Amino acid sequence: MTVAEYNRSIDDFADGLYRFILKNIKDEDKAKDIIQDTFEKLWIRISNVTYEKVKSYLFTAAYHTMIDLTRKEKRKDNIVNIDSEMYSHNIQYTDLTEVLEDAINKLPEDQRSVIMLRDYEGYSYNEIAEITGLSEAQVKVYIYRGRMFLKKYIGSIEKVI
Amino acid sequence: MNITRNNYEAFLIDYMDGRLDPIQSNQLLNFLTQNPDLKKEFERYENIKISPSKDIHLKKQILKRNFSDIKKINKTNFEEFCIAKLEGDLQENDEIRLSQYMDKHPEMIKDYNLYSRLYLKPDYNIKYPGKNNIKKSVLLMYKRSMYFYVSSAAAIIIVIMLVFMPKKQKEEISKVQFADITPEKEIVQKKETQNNTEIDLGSTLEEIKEVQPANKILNTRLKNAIPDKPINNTATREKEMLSYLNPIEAGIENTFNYPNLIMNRLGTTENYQEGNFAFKDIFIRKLKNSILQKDFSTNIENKIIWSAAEAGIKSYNYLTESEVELEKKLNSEGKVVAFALNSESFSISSPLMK
Repeated sequence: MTVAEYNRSIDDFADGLYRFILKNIKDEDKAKDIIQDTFEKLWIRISNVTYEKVKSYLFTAAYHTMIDLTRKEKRKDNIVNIDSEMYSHNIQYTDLTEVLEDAINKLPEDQRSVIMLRDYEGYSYNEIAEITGLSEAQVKVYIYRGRMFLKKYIGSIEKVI
Repeated sequence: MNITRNNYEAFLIDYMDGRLDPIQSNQLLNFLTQNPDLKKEFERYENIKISPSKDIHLKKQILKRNFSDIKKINKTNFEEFCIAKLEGDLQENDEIRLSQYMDKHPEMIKDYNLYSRLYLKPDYNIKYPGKNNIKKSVLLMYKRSMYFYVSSAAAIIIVIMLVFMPKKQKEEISKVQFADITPEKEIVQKKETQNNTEIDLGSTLEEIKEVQPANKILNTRLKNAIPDKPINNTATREKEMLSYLNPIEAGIENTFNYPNLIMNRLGTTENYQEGNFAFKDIFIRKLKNSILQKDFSTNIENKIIWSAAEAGIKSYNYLTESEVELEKKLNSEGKVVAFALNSESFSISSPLMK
């Protein structure tokens, strides 16, 4: 990949990558750090990555960096501090988007990530498997399971409202 | 073997698996009676039951490569069919079956519609703010030869742009410095100003002799250049003037063979007219035709300069067998606002100074 292609990959993919990471970890500063770190890794390996494969490379690297960060922080968290309101429905919803956002946050990180990769970036099962390191079958199961959970969550909200 | 607090667990497991004989079972129960804390633990283990996960059924259906293997759609597998339809995993026959099922059970349509709305949409307002900070503008090369090529390219471009950049000339000097000879030029009135005389040269050499320009150097030069004998033929007179004023330019002009040459050497023609060329225009035209293989039909300052820069890059690529490209970025008005030099090894970009 040339320098011009490297700069072009920033213009083409930085926004989508940042959106994906931010939606997962909900921290702007950490998301920016992950994006910067990812592109630095790409820069170091610039001669080994072609422009056709750069999007997949970026998402894979960013995903694994994000997972490492979240697992490291989970170990530091006090169990008592786990948000007991995670499963409550006390907040007022204005539209389905907000409800979906709340519901997606309830999913385990693997299911959340695969659903985001599927919906935000339109990746196939095989591509998601490559990015996340899961098998294609696992990806499919996570997506189906995640959709069922979202449907139940939304359905229960509608009953309450 | 006696049951003790160190080995009772093994006996407990064998008891729950039904592998203890009646004597060993009685021994175990007696031991537990004598150790009530361990008896409570045993009772806890007895109540633990693991039931098969409901997800296994889900997993089986999902992992099946072909939903066509499922003979009948019912309430149990309806949701999987809905998800499969929305994910694009259903074949055409299975989609028809699903539609037929929903026609027969309209109460299920609500569930299908709910599934169809459960897709995340990206928020395009979220943008990464630090793109320019992570872009790379120059790749540092440590090979000595690359420095040579880059500096050579820069030198060529600078030289070309310096040579062909139009220079501002003060009005009071410009008319004095050049002999403006045209085949049919009217005599313009002289204007006298303080310590400066503007001169518009007439169409005859005698009139040129009488002129007293303010610029003494050019005055001397003109006087020396003017021959004594009169020159009648216009084209011949032009060539004669060229040959006296600048032999090199005369040689080049003769090579180019342009009869309507206006001697405005350091700039372009101010009022461009079809058929009249300035020396610089001619040079660029020749350069473009021979090197860039392009048709030059209009005399626009910026195009000339960019053409010259492109010519320099092409020359450099030819000499060094490189593939350097000169790119320019245009704003909405079509004006160049930045340029960049790109190759496989380096990339230099810069905005243009206003």
